[in-house]
Amino acid sequence: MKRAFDPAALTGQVTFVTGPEKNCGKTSFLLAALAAWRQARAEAGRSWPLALLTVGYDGEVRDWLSGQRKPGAPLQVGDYYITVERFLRAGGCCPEIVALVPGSGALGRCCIARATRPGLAALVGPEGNAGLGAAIAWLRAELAGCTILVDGAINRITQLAAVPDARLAYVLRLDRAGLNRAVERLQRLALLLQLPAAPAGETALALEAAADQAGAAIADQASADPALYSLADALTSESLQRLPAACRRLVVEDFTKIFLTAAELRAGLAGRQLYSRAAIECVALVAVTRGVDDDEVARRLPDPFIQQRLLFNPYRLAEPLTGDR
Amino acid sequence: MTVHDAWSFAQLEDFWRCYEPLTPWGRDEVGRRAVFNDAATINHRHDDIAAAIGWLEAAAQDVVGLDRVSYHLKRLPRLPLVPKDEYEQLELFQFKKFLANYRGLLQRLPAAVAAGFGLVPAGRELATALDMGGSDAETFFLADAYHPDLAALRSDLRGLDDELLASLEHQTGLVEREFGLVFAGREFLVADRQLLPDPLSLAAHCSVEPYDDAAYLVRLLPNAARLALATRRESLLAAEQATENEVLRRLSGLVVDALPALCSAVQAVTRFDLARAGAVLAGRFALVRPDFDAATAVRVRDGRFLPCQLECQRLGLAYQPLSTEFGAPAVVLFGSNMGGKTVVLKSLLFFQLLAQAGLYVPAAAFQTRVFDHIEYVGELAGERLAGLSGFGFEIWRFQRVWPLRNALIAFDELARTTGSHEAEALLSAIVEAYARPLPASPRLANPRPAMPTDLVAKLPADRTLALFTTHFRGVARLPAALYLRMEGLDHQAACLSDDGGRLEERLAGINRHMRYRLVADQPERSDSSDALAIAAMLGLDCALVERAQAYFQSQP
Repeated sequence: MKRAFDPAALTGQVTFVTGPEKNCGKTSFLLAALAAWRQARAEAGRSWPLALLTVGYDGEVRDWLSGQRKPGAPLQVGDYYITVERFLRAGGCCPEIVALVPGSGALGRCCIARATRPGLAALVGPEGNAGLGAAIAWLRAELAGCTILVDGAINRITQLAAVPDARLAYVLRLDRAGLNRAVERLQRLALLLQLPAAPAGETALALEAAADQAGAAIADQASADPALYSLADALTSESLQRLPAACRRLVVEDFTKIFLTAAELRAGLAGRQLYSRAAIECVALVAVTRGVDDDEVARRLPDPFIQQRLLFNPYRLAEPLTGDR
Repeated sequence: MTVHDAWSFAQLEDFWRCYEPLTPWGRDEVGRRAVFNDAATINHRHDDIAAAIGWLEAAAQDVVGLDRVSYHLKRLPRLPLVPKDEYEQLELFQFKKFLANYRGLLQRLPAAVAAGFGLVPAGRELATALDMGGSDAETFFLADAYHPDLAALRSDLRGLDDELLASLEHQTGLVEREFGLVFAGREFLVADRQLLPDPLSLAAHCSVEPYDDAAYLVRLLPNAARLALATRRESLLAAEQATENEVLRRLSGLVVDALPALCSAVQAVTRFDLARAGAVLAGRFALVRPDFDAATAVRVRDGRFLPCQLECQRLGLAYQPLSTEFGAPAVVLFGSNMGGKTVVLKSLLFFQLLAQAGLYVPAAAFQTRVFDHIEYVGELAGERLAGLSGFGFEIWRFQRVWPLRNALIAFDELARTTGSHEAEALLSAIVEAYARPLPASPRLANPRPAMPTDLVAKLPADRTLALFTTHFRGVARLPAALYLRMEGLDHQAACLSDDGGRLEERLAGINRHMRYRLVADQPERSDSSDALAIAAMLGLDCALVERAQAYFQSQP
């Protein structure tokens, strides 16, 4: 099977690139995807706007993949990016400030700037979901069809759920020592991403009831179905144990509210069906392999959902951003 | 002044959320929940709302114009209003955006309205300078026009960028043609070792290092020409940045010169924003300006306690507005359970807090005076303090308000959780204290003892108004106090009704037959009990109700 990443999947969308740990290759994938998207835009002869965002500040100096100093995000004329005053002019792109982002972080206030000449950007974004949400809302309102790429924070995908219609590209590294763990991570994520949509009608009742009794109970029974419960807050190993025995079907807000390992999910949900009220689309599961054969990884991940989205090292020579197997 | 307890008791918070200024400073003010005790400040606030109502009414047909005013107010950013030698580019952006929207606001307002709020042109010179940088009125960059050297420096940089790009494209093309390495915009490649049988052959163009057992990591090496271009670019960027810093300092000087005018502009905008929000609120909820000229009595006509009115609407129940007059320093309100006496207390605090927050009030008329303190004594929902019972809370709170002068104090069922005789005695003493010390009344069946002189010296002999609700009808009857009661249940109508078995229907039945009006109270005891009738209407066993009625009527 040969599958290549389609950069058109990014156009006009908000895509969070995230992963489970530091130096898992998020930024490398983002830059490679960006290069592919720009090439596609040039070939199409279009001038679609582009914005590069991030969550917080990546203080890591070295890239795991290349061992080099982490590069700034390359900017072309007209690109938008998020940063703070101290890094605003550092990349030489002669920035024009177009908006302030609410809130302030350790490095100061964030702003959205537009590059007036090519350069590099040191991306610095707001720490909280609200600031990032406000920045994305501004870009969506002011720049119709803007393609927004967010270099996401490690192991924090709750930001994704805070932005309507945002998509996910999940990047993780696979080396020999951590192969089993990485495979389990991908399987768990795939399981959560495939949660069926909550039953219509009944769900709204259940969630409303749960919200009214915040803190009083971890789950509330929906009126119509004695086995259907909903959970307003996070599903953790603790809350899992407190689920009533009668609960056979459980609705969560979205998969980012689930904080269970794959084993806990399998054990705790035995005989129970989990539903998600809001679906989040995954555009790519990116495996950055090192010292591990890609075929072996693919064999261990037979789930068609994974196979359809699995890409390997975005810097592999064979073809840019390919899932060539 | 601090009004936290009264604010909570009067359920003001939900309504307060409807008060929506659009600027950051207006929102700050709302967040402070300020209640004033300075008559001049309050009157100015009310004058401003009156002016804003006048403007809104005059401009009612100009929907676009009104919308643009809101648009500009919403877009005004916070400003760093402290002098600095060098403002950041981000801060200059804030000044530019402020001035652009401030200008837009002034253009949309009639001159007389703007002048009335002190909205006058500000920072013209600064605005002209900042307008030179940015592709539109609300963006900012350090444009070439700011310095004679910038254009040349940037032209050189553009030329260098083109050369660098051409050099890179030449090298990637060469590597692609000669070695089949397709970088496609990527800064490095991971190539299978079998694809690079002779990695040393790349040495002139690329660095090659092991990635893992099966692959190399390949990165383009900059050639000497490109390194020279890059070095030259760094040097030009440094020169550009130094020039830009010079521009920033010059613009910062203009900001400092304009700061006094900008501070005044922010104050004027805040004042207008609060007035506009108050006027919008007045229109939405049919509020009226309170009358602070009434020197003696507090009077309300058709006052609507909005939280209760909205709750009644939600439940499909009738709401009875409040009309009353409190002409005595101490007012005791009696009433049956569910008769509305607590709502009267809440209503009055609600109106008074709004009035002293500088807003209009939901009534046909509200005459009052400015109190230095607005307080509540009683238990608040969900409140608990280690070691204190409900009674303990009341006494603790009362001790806090006892020294206050010129206060409006609401006592909701003081001492309700203690024994009735002790409660009546305590309540009598406190009512007496607020009603002013008078000689013992010969009209009373049991003349009370004379008040000790040391207590007399502590009494709030001022303009404090204390309101008490209570069930304890044995409280002392004092000539200087006012005794009112909720009119209560229409027993005759209630007897004839059949309100069904569901709680909602029974509540509706009580609401239908309850007369939520204040009337003068007489000390004589009534033969009929509202509480027992309400218990019956809520479905209590008839035999129990009848037995209770018998006990009630047999009591002396």
